[in-house]
Amino acid sequence: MRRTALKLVALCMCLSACVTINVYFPAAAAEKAADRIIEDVWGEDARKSQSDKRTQLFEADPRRVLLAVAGAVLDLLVPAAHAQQADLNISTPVIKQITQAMEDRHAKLKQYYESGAIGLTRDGLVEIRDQNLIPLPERNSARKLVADENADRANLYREIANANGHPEWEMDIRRTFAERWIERASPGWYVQDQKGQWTKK
Amino acid sequence: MIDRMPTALQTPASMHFARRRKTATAIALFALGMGGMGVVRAIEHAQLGVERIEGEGWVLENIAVDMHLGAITRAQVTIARVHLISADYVLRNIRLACGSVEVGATFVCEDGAVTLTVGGVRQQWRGRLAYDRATQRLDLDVRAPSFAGGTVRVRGNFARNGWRIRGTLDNVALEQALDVARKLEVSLPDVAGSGRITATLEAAGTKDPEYFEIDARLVDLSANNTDGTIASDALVLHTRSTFVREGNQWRFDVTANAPSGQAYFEPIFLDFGQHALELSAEGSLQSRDEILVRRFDVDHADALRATGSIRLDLRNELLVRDARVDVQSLQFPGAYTSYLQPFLLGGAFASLTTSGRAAGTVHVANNVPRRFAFEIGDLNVDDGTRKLVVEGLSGRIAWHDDANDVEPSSSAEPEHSFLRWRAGSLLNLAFGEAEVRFVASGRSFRLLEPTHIPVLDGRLDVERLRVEDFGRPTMAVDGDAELQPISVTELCRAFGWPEFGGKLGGTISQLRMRDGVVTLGTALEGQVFDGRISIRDLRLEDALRAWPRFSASIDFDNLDLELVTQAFSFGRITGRLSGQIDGLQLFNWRPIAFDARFYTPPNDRSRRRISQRAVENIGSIGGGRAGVAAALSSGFLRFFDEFRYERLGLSCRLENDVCHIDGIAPAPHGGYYIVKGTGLPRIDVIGGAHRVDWPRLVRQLIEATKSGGPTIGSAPNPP
Repeated sequence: MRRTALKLVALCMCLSACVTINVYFPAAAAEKAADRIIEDVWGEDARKSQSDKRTQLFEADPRRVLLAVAGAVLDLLVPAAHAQQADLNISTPVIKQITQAMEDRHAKLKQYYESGAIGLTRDGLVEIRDQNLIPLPERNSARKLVADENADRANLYREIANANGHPEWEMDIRRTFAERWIERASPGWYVQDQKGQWTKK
Repeated sequence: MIDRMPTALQTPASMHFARRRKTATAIALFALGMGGMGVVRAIEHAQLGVERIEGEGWVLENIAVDMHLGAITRAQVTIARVHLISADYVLRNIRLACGSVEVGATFVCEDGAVTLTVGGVRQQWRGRLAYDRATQRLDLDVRAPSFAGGTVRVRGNFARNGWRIRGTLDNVALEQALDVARKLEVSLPDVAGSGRITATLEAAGTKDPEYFEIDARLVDLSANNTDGTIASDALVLHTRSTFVREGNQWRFDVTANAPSGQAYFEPIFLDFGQHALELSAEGSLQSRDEILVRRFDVDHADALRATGSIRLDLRNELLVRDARVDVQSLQFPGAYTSYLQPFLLGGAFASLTTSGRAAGTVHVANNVPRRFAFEIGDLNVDDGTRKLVVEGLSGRIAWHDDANDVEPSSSAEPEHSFLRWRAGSLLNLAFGEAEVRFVASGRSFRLLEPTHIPVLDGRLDVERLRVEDFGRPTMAVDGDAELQPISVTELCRAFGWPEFGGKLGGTISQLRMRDGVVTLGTALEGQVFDGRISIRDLRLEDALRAWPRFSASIDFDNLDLELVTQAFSFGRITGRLSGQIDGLQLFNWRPIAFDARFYTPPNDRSRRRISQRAVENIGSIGGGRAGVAAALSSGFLRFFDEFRYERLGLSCRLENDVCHIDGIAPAPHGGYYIVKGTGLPRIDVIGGAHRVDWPRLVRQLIEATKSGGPTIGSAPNPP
């Protein structure tokens, strides 16, 4: 009898020792955060592509609309996971300063996105795609813009992870941003596909 | 003799030569045949077929000659295939029509027209061809009246004792010429471009080429390689080169000048319109793999004048086996914008205004600099933001790579360097005239003797400074210095802070930099507001990058509050104040986190009074400005200028732009005491807001200190 009690205690101890706390990366919240920052940095350019996307939805073929409706019904039946997730904190002074710097820089980078000289990479950075599209006297300053932008982007991804108490989320955040930058890019800009090939939006 | 008849030449006069080895024989026989036909005048139309004629370096196949004999003999020659063996190139279907043929001792084709189709492009050339049978000399003078938008003319003679060709290109469009060249399957580097070339090319030799001379003028040259790392725009380039064979070597003499246009060799951008370039070089191509430039001269207007010698190895990548350059003058700002700026991109020194000059010598071996020595004369550097300003920099910098230097003299003590300057500014701090003596070798730097640099109205005495692994991420800096007191007023002025008195000084020992982080092993001590201030745990990350991070902890001890409130025009408070700011973190020099508390020291015996205005300003921190103002302005309190207090204190923990505020003790209804009054009339300032928006608070504080103080409420002035 006493043995059984001991066993029970041991079992309880084992069970209590095996408690695992999983913190899953809040993908939907990260997407929302990325969108907010992208809208800040790109301003009108981000909104433009968003409205384009909406137009596409309405013009889409009936099958897609059906799928969308099915999806909406499913959303009703299964409460969306992200509804329970808290928003990511992206309003720390560090993030604000970096975002502001990126927004200021965008005024200069925009012309190169539009000419196709600079494109958005699949890893959430920017890259000179075709240097020959940049006038010679501007090549070095364009290279500097890209270097500065990438340094800020790397800082931004790290800071968002840190600000939310999960430095280990940095790669996930970068991945989320990579997708969102590409998704929100204006038509005519160059973006990298999953294989790293450049395509024009 | 006729064993295989060319199908197109079914005439009685058709002949066929079996494979012959010797050029001379072949041409002689060919000419003999011609001569033979010239005799038989009765024949008006003659045809001749030759299957193959072979010479030194070339083969002609399936040659057909069709002659119309008369007062003026005309001829048509078709050659199915010309193989230029040395160039490994095949031309097909060449048609030569001679308006007038002279067949005698010399075979002359006057008014000739050659049509050849190469790579789908049909080319037509006109000219004269003559062959002297006795001397076996072939003369040719052909021109393309229309070639790539311009004209081309080729003149040449080939004899037993040698040959000479002279080609002239006049205003030929580069783009079209490149196109033709590609169709001709000439192997070219992967470049695209446009522009016009006018050039004379001369070559001569006996069997192999012995001599080349090129005089080319390229105008409006805009070219680039595929990845855009090398490019030019509207470039004008004039070059004159001669190459003469001497035994196994080729001796060359090249001059080039670019008076206008732009060029880009990543990362260097050269604007020849601003700084024209003249280059000359003479030397030899030792073998296929080695170029020896015995002497070169560069004159890059207002940027660089240099001479030197270079040995290049072409075996793998371009390798500078050895180069000795005598830089006669390096002129700023031209030298900075052309050569230095591109390498400083992204750093703190990317956009400097420079002036002055330098001169020196550089030795490079195996692509790596081994030693250099530069004399600097009156160099001025200014970044425009006072983060880096140096005026009147002069001296001598000698450096050598101690690990890899091959010079025998390098075993001795490394050469000393020195730099002196008149004045300057670093991170907004003005510094004065000083001189530093140091040794620089490899990736290390060592101060030879202590140096004294005036900083503001104080002085920085650097006792020891050592840098290792310079320019690498692992760069390490160690130093010791003594800061002779600087007046805080000056410091405030430099950083644009509200001015207040005091002195800051101390021993800066154990200054270290590791992995891009600067730390100070000791605390900086200062005398401010009649009290003491101590700054410890100093740490600076990415100081010269875009986002510097600074952290420190600051202790304040027994400051005179009256002086403090005067300095910040906060409203007078008398008494003493101590406090700490722990874990202060600045991102880009703006506070993002700290844990600060200020309070009346426990055993304070000073006279403690607080003015109406100070009460109000403090009230605004606690979030109750309106209430405080109303309370003060109503009733009898408004007749008092100041109030006695027992103690005061405030703490703020800054986190995520929110200041978590607390006072010295909890007050009823969840509030906290900021000022605990004493005596009569007694006034307590109680804060209610526990969370205050930091940017707004800063704005309020600045407002409070700037204005003469808010007017008290809306109450009418006392009569």
